[in-house]
Amino acid sequence: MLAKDFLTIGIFALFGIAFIVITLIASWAVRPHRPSDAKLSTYECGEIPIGPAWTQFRVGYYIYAIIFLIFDVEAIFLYPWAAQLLGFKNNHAMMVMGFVDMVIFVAVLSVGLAWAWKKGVLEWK
Amino acid sequence: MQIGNLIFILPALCMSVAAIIVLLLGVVASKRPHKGLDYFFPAQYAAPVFTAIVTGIAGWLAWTELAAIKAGAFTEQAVGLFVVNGHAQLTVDPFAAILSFIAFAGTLVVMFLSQDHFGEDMLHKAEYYSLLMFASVAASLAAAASDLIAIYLCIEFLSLTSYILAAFSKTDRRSAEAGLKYFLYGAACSAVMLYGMSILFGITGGNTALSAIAIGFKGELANSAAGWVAIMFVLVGLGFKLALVPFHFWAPDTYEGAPTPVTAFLSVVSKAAGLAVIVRFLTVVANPASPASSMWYWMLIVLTAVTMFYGNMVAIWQTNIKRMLAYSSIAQVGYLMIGVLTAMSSQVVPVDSFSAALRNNNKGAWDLPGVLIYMFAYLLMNLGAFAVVVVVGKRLKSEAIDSYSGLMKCAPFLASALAVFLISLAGIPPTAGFLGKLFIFGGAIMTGMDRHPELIVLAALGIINSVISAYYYLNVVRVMYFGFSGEGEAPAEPVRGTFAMNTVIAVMLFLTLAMIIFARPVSDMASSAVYSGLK
Repeated sequence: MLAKDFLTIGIFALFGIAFIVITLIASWAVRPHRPSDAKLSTYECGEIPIGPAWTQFRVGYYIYAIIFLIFDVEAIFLYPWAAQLLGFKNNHAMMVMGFVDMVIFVAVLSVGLAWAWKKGVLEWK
Repeated sequence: MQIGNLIFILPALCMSVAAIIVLLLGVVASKRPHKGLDYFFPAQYAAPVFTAIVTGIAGWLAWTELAAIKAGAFTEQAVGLFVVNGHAQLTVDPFAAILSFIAFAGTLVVMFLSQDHFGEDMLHKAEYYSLLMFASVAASLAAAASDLIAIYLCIEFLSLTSYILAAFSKTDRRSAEAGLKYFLYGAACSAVMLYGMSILFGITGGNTALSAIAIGFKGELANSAAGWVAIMFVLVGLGFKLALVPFHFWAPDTYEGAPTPVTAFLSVVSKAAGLAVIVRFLTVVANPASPASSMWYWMLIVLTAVTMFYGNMVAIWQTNIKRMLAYSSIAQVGYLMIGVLTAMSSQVVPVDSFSAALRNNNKGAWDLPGVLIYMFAYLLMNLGAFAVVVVVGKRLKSEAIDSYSGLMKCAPFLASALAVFLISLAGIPPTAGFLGKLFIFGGAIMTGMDRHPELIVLAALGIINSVISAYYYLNVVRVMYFGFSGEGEAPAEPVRGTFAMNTVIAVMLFLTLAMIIFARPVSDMASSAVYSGLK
């Protein structure tokens, strides 16, 4: 049983790698090769790129990104929770407990947001 | 699950709420630096008050559990929390309750050290103290974690807060280096540990609870390559927390670079958590009928011996006292591991839970009670030594051992306190460290005489190492009392700690010396905590 489980994973991994390699080789073999300046330049939404892409970013970006990510993940987390909670339709005590648990979870995250807000993280200076 | 059982993690719950309160008070206060809350209620006073209350609750909890054992009214079901399919995720037995008390008490002392080290005008004060409080919550829960997911979450929670604390002195390059090194090693080790856990989860049929894994993990499976790899990988992550030898590379640089109170925290509270988890993991999961037949037992024996020798040998050459204490704490973990290995081999049959392991254990054994006693002694003497290092380092602006020369003349109290703490670390009677070593080495020899000669060898190596360690511990005492032959000059100004620091040091000093007088009640308490005979 164990070996079979891992065999499935192995086949999956093999197909995953093979798909990428074959696609790349096939497109390399089929495509015409006619480079021009416009084609080789970095794509930046139609704008003409200025300077190299490897520059330092303001640390503020990352803090924004992290705070966004936390609530993004939380939003995804709410879906399975809600689906699971419906399963306890007949068990009132479990439903209340599941609800209270999530309220505590969201409250803790909100405290984090309140802290970041008060700390001035969300202001762009 | 019964809501009433939440009382067993009451200290951790209270501490989490208190940490959030401190965090929010900090941001409210930071807008008005000179009036209002910051003036009346600054974080560095609020946090120790909360921590003292929580330490009290943790102590009360441990005490009630011990009393309940005496009365015979204690069951395994009563202390399991978040039970899924009959397997608890957290098990707050007296062993966990006492280690969580040690974690909170250690954090309280670290807060006093922080007050002295950082002073009034510290940047991000509230964040620092609330991170310390959150880290102590993680350590307290790790002591009770009896499920792979709970173990991983607690260890990671503790690690993440510790990374930030280690790098807290933002303007100090060494502190940043300490935090980054700790983070990189920690990330790698926790990834390996997680991989080991996933293998363990897979080969035992999809169980995460340690007691459920123990049922599946027996015989053929335990001796298979997959089982071996899984156990070793989990031990990598736990070894990192304990700074066991091949996973110790972060320790010296992190200990030296981090702010001194944080170093004290990492060397005591963080290790208490790692120790609790490794004890639970080894006695429940990685504990076959005859330990001698399994590879990882011998690996651990070798690692323990190497850890002791490496820590002591390298500590001899150190000129910075924080670095010396870092290497010495690596060696101290080696002594603690002897106790853990003894507990592993004084086990007769494989069992499926921690309390059953203890029930089957030899009742007169000294191994796990010895680990508890040594951990408590280590808390006292190591935090005591760090307290003196904080006070002296702040006044003299130096952490070199040379600068302690002639300290006896200008600070007799601090110098004699440090002398006692170092003597205790070396394990010389009549100090707490001696009592701990007596139990650990004595337990190893008692079990070893029975059927495990390798434990006698380990105990002998431990005693040799204690002698080696006496050299560099007493060298500091020599420098303090007789001066350093060379450029070191006695400081002209008398060095004085604040009233609060002197009180903390005096209390630790008293307990370090008094523990031997209360050896009997202490050892009784430790044995009933461990061999509680949970029903």
